[in-house]
Amino acid sequence: MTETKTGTEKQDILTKIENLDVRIIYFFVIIAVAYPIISPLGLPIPTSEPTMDIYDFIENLPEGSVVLVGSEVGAGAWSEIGPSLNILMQHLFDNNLKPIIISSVVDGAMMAEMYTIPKMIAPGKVYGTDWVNLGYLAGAEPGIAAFATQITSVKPVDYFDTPVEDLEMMKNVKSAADFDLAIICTWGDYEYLQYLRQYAIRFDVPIVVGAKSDMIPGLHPFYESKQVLGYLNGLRGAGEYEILTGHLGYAAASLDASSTYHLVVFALIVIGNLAMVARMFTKNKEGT
Amino acid sequence: MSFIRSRYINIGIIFITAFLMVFTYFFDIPVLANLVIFIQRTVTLIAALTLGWGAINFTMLAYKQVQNKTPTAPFHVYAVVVMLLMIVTGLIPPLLKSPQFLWMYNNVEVPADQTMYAMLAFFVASSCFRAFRARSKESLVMLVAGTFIIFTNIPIGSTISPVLPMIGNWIRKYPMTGASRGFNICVALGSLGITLRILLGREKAVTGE
Repeated sequence: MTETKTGTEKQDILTKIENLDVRIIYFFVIIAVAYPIISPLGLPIPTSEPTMDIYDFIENLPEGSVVLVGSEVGAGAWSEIGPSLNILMQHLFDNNLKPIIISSVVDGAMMAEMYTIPKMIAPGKVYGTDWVNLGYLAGAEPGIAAFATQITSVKPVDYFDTPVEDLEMMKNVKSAADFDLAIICTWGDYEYLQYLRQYAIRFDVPIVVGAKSDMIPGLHPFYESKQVLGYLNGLRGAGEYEILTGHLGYAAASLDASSTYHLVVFALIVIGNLAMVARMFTKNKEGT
Repeated sequence: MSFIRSRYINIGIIFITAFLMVFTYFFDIPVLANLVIFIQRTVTLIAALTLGWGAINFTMLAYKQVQNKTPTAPFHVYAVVVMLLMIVTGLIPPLLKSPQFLWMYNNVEVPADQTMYAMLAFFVASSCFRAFRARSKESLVMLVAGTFIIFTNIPIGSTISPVLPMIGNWIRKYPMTGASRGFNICVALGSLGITLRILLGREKAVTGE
């Protein structure tokens, strides 16, 4: 079989495409992410049903309702889950609800204290009366179960080492039965399932989840069966919620970059598959 | 001594503790509930202690690396030094809130953690290019479904066409939910089987054999 010069050139191009230097891919990724941040595109962000369900539920909670906020995310995933936590906390403060921050992740409560609370627009809110941070809860699910049964059994002091019994807000909050809602912002499946088992099933506490996008396939069935009232789908969900509440921030600003990045990924997948198909045609042609 | 190490003691402890946990999960009996809270607090204490044991274990591992003069020994030494620095600064009053500890956390740990996470974006892009090839009918179906899910998750999807998120939401609501439910049920049944084996003492690893 004789290969024509044109056939050989085509094969070289195919080989070059199939073995594309990763640095070229990284270059396009950097451009795709950086450009919309420098010069926003202003793409519309429609609101999804799970996000709307959370918003409606919180809007209908009476003033003074106690909400458990699980800051189950560390520093690594903070840029994806942090905006969800921030905007949900802000909505709680806007509606004069009372959040209790807890975390079974080592630095979750610390991240909430340092990166969420300072960003809150909460005029007149007083720590101990309007919100409480109970800090890190060791022991994973057994710790969460003990916390649900009797808060002071595993958390006698708060994040600032103040006895819980001395906090004004905690005088009538003794167990999970006193929570009106649980918001779990988490970077893994394990954390929200713990709260689902120990709070939603045992004490009928409504649960909403701020999750990473890759957790949605496992989380959505719980939403469909209404065991989870709603969820925020990563940065997209946080951006939708920022628009709903009117507090535009990091998430809404980042969604343009998310769109262009995924377009680049889609283009790469198409190019890779076209190269594969072209190679199959070339091989078939040579074979005949 | 052999009596204490008898597997029947282990099985007995596991069975009684597990029975208490399951029983009080479904029935509210104050006396048993207090006992269960005590057990759960003990577990919480053990979990906190294991963090310390993890640090000691890590140091011992680094020591072995240094003894054997492996190429990665300097990195292990660096890791142990940084770990001890965080522990020491964390113990400066107020505990875990001293300016030194917070400086190290905010200026080293957080940026490093977030950088590691952000690098995933590049790896995902290059792995999508190399691995997402429709080599079979099943992978073609996965690729098409994945494309619709991508355009559902990003705002530009609805800008390009409202049909894209509509199909993506349908995929999420029906095929994906059905498959996930099946998977979750299988995992739950498997967990139930393993739990029964542990409770009945048939799982040798747990009983210490």
